Amino acid sequence: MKLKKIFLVIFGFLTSLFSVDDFKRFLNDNMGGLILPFGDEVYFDEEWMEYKRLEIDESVKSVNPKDLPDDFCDEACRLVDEFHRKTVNEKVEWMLYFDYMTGEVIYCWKGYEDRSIGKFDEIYLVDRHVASIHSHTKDLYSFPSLDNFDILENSFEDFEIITSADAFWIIEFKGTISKISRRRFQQCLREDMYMTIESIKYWGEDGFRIRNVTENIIGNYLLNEINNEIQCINLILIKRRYG
Amino acid sequence: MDNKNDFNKIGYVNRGRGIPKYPAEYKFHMDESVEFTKEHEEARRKKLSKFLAQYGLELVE
Repeated sequence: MKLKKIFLVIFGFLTSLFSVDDFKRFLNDNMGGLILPFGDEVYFDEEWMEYKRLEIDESVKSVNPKDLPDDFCDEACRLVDEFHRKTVNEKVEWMLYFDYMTGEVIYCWKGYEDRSIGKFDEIYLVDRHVASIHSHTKDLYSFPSLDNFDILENSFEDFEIITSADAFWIIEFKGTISKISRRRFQQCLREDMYMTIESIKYWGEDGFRIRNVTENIIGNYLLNEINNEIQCINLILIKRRYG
Repeated sequence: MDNKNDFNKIGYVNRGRGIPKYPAEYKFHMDESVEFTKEHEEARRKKLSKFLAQYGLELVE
């Protein structure tokens, strides 16, 4: 009976703050993995619940925790491995923001064939250790695209992980640079990647070889040729295979 | 993030435009171009040529 009284007090307090419709909207804003009971029903973030229902492919090789940054706790390592197994066969990209010190998911977004986009409220990122993870579908190369270097301007995001069928990438950038500096970096990258891809296509022999060579050469370009420090902040890129 | 004015700011994340595997065409998109000096452009091309030469490739512009 005591519990019931406490529940009614909390329920009364909540209903005095929100109308039922407001509360439903609040819970269905698709802005994160928020799950709360309300009355007899449960309202939820639809994309998060869809992500939770994705099947885990037990046949694929796992992400070795030793390949992830030392800052990642066990739960974060488990989350990265599970994310890869859940999304590896998906035809659309998925993306999470999570706290790499606790492994807690902050936001979850379902993307499209070639992109992940999302909206977030920065208040939920305050005092967090934020890493993002997003998947590349099987029709995309594993390496980061230009947009993946938006992390350079994001003060709240320390790591970005990109998973794909054969390999995954980690970008570490614990700091922030100005928008113009970030754009300068991306433009250099755009021109170099474009010219490299055109050169491979021009000199390449067949489609299969071109795909493998592009994956390898652009990967090596990113790993070895771009600046590993921008305005005294380390930019660390790592490519790893599974298993 | 320490400034209270930063709170409740809505941000957008876009991790798109992954590069499709050949032979799909890909447009390297940027909203607006940043100007570089000729010297900067030349130095970068030279560096890229050297990198591609390791794989027996010549730079095609």
